[in-house]
Amino acid sequence: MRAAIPTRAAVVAAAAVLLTLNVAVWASGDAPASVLMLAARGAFGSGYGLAQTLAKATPLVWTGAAVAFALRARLFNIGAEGQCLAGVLATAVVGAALPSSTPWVIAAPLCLAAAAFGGASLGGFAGWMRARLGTHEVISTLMLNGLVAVLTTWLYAGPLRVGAQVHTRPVVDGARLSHLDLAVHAFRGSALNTSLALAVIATVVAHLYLTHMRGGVAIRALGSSPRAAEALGVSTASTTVRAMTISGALAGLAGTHYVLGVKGYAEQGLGTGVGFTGVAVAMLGAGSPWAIVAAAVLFGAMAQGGLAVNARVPSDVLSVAQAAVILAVAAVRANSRQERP
Amino acid sequence: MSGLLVFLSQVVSAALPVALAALGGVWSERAGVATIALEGYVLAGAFGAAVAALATGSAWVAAMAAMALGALLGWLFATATVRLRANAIVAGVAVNLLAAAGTRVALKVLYDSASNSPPLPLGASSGASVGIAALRELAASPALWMAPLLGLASHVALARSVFGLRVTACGENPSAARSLGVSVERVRTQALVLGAAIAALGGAQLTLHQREFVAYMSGGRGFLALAAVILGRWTPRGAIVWAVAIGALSALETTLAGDDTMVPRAALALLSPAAFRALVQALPFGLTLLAVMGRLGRARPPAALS
Repeated sequence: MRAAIPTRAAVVAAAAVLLTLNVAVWASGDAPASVLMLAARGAFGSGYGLAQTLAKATPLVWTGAAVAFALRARLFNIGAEGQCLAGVLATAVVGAALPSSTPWVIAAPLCLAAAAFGGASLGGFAGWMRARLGTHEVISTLMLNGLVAVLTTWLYAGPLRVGAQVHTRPVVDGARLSHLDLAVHAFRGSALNTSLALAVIATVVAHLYLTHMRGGVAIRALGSSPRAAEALGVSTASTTVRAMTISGALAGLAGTHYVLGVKGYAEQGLGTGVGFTGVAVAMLGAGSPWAIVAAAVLFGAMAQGGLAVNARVPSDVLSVAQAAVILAVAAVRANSRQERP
Repeated sequence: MSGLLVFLSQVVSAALPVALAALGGVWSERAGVATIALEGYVLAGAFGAAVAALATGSAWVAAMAAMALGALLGWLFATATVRLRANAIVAGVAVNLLAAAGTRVALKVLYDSASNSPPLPLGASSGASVGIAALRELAASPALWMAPLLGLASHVALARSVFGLRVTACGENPSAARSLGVSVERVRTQALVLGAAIAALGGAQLTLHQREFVAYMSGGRGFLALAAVILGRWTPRGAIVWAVAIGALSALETTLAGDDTMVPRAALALLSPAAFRALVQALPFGLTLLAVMGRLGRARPPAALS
């Protein structure tokens, strides 16, 4: 299977951003060209801006890779949203439960595993429902999103809250992922952390797994022709569960960016929205791990650029542009021959 | 007595947005297009109603404006999914994002606020603290009168009218419909636009009830509506019944939030009041999961639902 570089999608995405931004900025009563320059400078023009763009891209790499992974089996994991929240919860609980002297060689892997497990359990459950009961994964994962949102809201406001704080107990120091501004002085003050590197590595590894390993090839076979796959001895049930479990694990790992990287604890609202944006990232970047990373950086840049222009036009102008990108790319993908991942 | 009236009016005003959104969802899903976009329709409708009510002072104009804005968004969604064949889930995500961000941009541009509109000129909300006042307030809402009408009309239309049968045909077996000379594209587009308009009316109810528009005020009601559609097995009657049940749960949750002493004693033995409320909130999602797992009878979606 060729890793199609979605050139056409990229062109359409760029056109959609420019067009919507022009209209939206003009409607807000400002000059599109200068606002766009300001947004671009905010997102890429300084070390800090660039680092913030990459920090905002980090969870999107995770969730984008998650959605794209399930898509290879032609499964629509719209539950990355809830799986990410579950990852946030799991890693925060495990990280806070460890003894404070736990060395990082033990704490960090345990917390990463917890995040992966949190997401994987939800994804795997949806996969199991699909395989055994025929429940469409879009419906089951959407409902699981709702359940997890209710659960975490209650836990963070009640049982897990620390006294007057509105967040959970902090994780042990050993579990914290280092901020990259320790290494690169220009990034100073940014939330960028090693979760980005882990996300990029995981995205590439997931791709290699799909292209080079037996289990991964079975997942793609299921996606391109379920009947042929079955005839070749691929078990639809176990492959479906595996694809959704791995996808869920990737989405859950997005929690590491927030809990182990940025905050050091979990709170209400961490990770909200990145699951759905991950769907967009996967749509834009399907087929190639680098395209997923690039798409995540694009959405991260739009989020960061939005903050940069907020004094002149509402930052949500950039989110409108994101919506336009998603619609345009979805339409283009449906009408091009490289449509199917 | 007064307490009961207040509770009932709370049930109705909580159920109306979900019921209308679910009714809209029935129309588009019966046509064979999965509709994550309900959330966006509700939000857009809520905003359209606020703008029109602020401009004209009329609740009925507000309701019409909400439906118009919803229809516009539905048309955009239909263009993407039906004409351009974009994936309905992805397009739905985009529509939701567009509604969330677009209403915030418009809020800033029109009213110079990041979070809410000015209060609507419809008389101050009584806070629904007095029974009769709560009822009178509810009676002034166009959605209250239009919802049963739309529900009944949808029920009859889907079962008996030519258009309704065509919609169902497009959802069950589009190629058969096509072979009978039905334009699947046109029927689906019409059903989607109609559904979006109805769902947006649910948003209007939110704004008219709260007397202002607040950013993100749809607050997941579109997804609850989707749950009602599934639990109600894709029929108008079932969807509305479940939406009312969900509305009752949400009114119960609101009441409990205001007064912990209302939590049943038996529940308190096991759970804290907050945990009990969370359980009440989680019920619609949990029930829907059970329903689609086949544990509450078989829930069979339209065959061509994508």
